[in-house]
Amino acid sequence: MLEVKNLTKKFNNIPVVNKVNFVVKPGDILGYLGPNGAGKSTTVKMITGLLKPTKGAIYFNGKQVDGDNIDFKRKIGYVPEQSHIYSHLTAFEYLQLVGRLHDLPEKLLAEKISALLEEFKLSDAMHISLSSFSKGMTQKVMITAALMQNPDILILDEPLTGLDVSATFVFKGLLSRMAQAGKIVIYSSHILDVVEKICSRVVIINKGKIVADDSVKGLINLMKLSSLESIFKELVQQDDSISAENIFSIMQAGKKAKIKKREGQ
Amino acid sequence: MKTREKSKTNKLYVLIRHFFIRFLNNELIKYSSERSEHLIFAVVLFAFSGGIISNHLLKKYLVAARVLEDIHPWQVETSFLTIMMALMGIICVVIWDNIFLDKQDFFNLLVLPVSTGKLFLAKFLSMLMFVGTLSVLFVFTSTLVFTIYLSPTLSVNPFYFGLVFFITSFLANLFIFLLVATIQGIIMVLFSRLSLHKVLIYAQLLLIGGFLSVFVWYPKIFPKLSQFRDRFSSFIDYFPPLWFTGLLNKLLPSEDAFFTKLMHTSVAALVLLLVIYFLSMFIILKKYLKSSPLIKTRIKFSKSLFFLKNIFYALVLRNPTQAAVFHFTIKTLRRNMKHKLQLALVMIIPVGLVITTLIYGYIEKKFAYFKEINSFLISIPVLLYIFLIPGLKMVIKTPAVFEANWIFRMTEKKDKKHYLAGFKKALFFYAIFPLFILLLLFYSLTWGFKLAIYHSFFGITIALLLMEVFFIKYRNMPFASNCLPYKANLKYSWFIYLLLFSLYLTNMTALGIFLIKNPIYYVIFYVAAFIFLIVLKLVRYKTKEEFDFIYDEEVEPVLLSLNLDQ
Repeated sequence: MLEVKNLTKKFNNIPVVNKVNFVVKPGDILGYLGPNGAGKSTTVKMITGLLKPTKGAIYFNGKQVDGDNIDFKRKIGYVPEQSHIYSHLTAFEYLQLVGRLHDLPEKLLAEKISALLEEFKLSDAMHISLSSFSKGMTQKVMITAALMQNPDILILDEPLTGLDVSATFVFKGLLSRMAQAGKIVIYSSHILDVVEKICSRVVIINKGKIVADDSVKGLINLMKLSSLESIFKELVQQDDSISAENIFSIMQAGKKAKIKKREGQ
Repeated sequence: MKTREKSKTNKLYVLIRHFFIRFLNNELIKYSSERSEHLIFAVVLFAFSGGIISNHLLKKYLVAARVLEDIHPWQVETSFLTIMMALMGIICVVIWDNIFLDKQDFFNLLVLPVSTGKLFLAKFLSMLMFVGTLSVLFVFTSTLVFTIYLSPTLSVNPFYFGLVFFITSFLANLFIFLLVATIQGIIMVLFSRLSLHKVLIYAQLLLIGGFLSVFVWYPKIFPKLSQFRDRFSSFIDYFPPLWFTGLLNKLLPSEDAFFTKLMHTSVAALVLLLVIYFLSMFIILKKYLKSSPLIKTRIKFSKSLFFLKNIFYALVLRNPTQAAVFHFTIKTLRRNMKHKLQLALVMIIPVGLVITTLIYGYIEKKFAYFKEINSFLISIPVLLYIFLIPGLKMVIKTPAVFEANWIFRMTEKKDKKHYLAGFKKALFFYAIFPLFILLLLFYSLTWGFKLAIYHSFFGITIALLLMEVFFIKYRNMPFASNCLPYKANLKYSWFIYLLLFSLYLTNMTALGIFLIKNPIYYVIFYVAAFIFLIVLKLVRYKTKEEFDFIYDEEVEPVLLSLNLDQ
């Protein structure tokens, strides 16, 4: 069980994540939702040990873990939001690097890389430099890297960016299968329909604070709304909604319409 | 109608500006991320260096004019043009990636309503602007110096001399730019996308080595220029700065047939290079538009190679972490242009010195020079390794993709010995061992196999000890840590470094001479080296407790408080 207690991160004394609490049990797929800049990636980075929390703690199976806890890190598979990758390496070489750093034996590693890349239809490109890869292909390599060591906790930060339809379909199926096997999955995203379909529970964060924590069904019943999208709109986008009408009128400016200023500007 | 015409001119202006700024964004300099003071400092330094160089060259000429009667003004002009063209060459190699329209330009700009012709024109004009700006910067102060010093003796209007001098310098710089562009263009046209990257990197390294070596060999050529002219040496036909000296003198004007011939060569070379530049630009565009981004390749090991690979792994890389760091280090060193250039810049000094001294040794004593056991031949491994190892340390401290280091941070283990062993083995197999083989071959050909074995092993032992010394307090993950250059306080310590370097070089050379003449003492040397190695390992082991990799070096509090970290 993964438990996040009072997790806070401040940058220049400004809280980006503010007293966040949630629990993820084995077999759960937790959807971690929020608009851009809400604090999703910062939370994820604190769980993975890439950022130190200003306050609060993370517990795994009752024990507190931090960035230096190597046994905990071994259990994590992570797909970061931005695919920062060593682009001078080939896909095979990059996965070899990751696998070796996870202490996977050479033979098993080579077999796993080949088989996983075959599944993701990347075996033809495995010896090509990652600098020539498309966004979707790079994302597949990142996902493969996260899966290789058979992690107990899979942390995904916008994992479907750039993926094609079939890969998305396969990936969603894989997450369900992992949950069945008792793995913990944290799925951070702002793509609501995918989260609605695959996540057993949803945590919504806005401006660093949690504004909802329940199952999708529970939230629908509680708020008496039809879908996760309407719940999200209700909870997050009330005060600073992006108006399609406004954007369209700005686009038209200079021809017929004038630029309408927002209230308060 | 007028608005549309105006927007058309603006589009060309926008493109020229875009390409011009891209010249400043290269492997070594990131214009956007650098502080503007750095750029201003570079510009001022560049502008004044022209004046300082020309003043240095001419002062010597004027003061000693009557003594050094065989040195003519055209020789000084050639020297200035040589230095300027070599510097321009180095700059061109640094901005190498932006000389031609590249993949980024094609994919981003061709989708916009901009014609291919306009792209070509904008690229060419931005190139002229870039060369022009550099020429103005470099030649401005030197034109003044040359005008003041030389125009009275040449009895030419000073303004006219200044103008001609500037035009010649601009054309000489343009020649160098086009030469580098042509070499790159020919490679891009001839080679397939697969081999292109490798070939381009080696070409870039060769060119930068070539331009830097000018500073080593030209001073020795300079006094002989007059003799070359008198003997109609073919050197004159193949030395571009002389062509532009001819152009300068012809425009002054001079009736000397020697200058007329040189001027014709300079004009012909410029026209030829311009034609090749445009032609290759056109062919490259076609090539990019036709080619597919991915090519299916698979590396297959033959059975014997596979067997050797397995033995290597069993003997050298048993631990997965070691193997990971080993391969990462080697591949980054082999493939990243930035790191290769850094290493080349460090190594060009000792390599240039060794090659020049060997050439002059050959000129003076022919092959007999190589047969004798002199202090210079003994010092070669000592000299090369003392540059190579700190150079490698500097290179691996430069991150490859800093943001991608999360993979190391997430998988970092408590015991750091495998990480250290991994990259040290990589440095050994990438640089130290190949140099050892090269030296072994060189000494085998000159002194015979027995002495070659003695001295090459002496060299590699010193190299291994040096590596241990230089990395004793190393706390960074290779190519994954952000290091702050201003942490090294050279203001006072440079003197100590220089002293230590001189002491090391002279003492090790003396030791090398002593050992090769008294081979029995090699036993004592290796025992002492072994003990020293153990001591170094023990020192390392003692500091193990407090050892953690530093990924992002913290800024000193004093720098933070003064806001100098920005």
